[in-house]
Amino acid sequence: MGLRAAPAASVELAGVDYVPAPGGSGAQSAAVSVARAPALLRAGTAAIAHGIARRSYQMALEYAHARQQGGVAIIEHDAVSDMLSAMAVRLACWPQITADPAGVALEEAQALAVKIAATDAAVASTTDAVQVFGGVGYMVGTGIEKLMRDAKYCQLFPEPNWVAHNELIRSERRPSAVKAGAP
Amino acid sequence: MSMLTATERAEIRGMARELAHRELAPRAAALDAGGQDVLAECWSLLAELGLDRALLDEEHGGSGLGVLDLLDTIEELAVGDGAVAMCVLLCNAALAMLADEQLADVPAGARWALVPAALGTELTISDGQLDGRWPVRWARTAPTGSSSSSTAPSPRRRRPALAQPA
Repeated sequence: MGLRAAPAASVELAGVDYVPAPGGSGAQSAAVSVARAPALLRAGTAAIAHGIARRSYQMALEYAHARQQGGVAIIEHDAVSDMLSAMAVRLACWPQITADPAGVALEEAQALAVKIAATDAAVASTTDAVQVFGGVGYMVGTGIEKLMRDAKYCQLFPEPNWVAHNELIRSERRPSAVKAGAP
Repeated sequence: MSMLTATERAEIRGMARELAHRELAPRAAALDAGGQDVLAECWSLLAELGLDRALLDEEHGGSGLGVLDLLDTIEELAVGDGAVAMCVLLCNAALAMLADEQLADVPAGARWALVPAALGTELTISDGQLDGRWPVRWARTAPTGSSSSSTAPSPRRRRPALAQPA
């Protein structure tokens, strides 16, 4: 559906015989290691979603200033300006990702949370952007519907957000103050 | 670890922003149409800047970016085209998993991705546009995707490896 230049494909394996690779746990010369790859993929997907949301906001804002309806630019209509405002708020609330002092390790739970928040925000903002464009936004030629499809892809990679929610909660330690059976 | 100064980081981010604006955004529709030739054009530009292996140090042809620097760069590229940004992310994640002696054999400018496979395996890949058999060059054990979820079986949970078109 989205991110078509990075196609996903079915992979069929035959004659699989696992042979351990030489070496340790990843490139000594790289900033990340194998164990940190999932957090990198999730944080990276969040960054992509944020970039898509920025693009959709830029395009929607430009269009809302240029498109005239009822004698005024459509940005003067409350329904349109409300959507643009909501998009701006989502961008302003972009959660900054942090790493350890060495700039190497991303915290797994934070990467999950940021991925969920950023991709949900991107889907909401790109949907609003299509709405700002009106009927034209549904057409391929504007490029705005592509952003909505791309944002949806991010919600599903590397796992669907509902799975990410499950993983996030399972990674949280149970608060010691909460006793078993307590409401 | 990133040894870049704040000025160098800002320059790299600005370079990615400029590339996205000048090269990626105008090609977004063609990329969306699945144009692998267009992607190859974009990829050569990214490889020239060392973004295909940005996390690796300069000795291995990389840019020596830290993780946060890479995320900033990917975000800027995604403003131009999300799919290209995703390719950069996957390629860097894949190459970062290789040991140094394996990196020495990696040709510059190639696109890489993680797939579940093992050494000696041949992959048959078909999505209607891309047909071919790819040899698996290296195998690394690394969980990606839903590695701990019991509710979403994923082929990514076992033995990803690197594959490249033959």
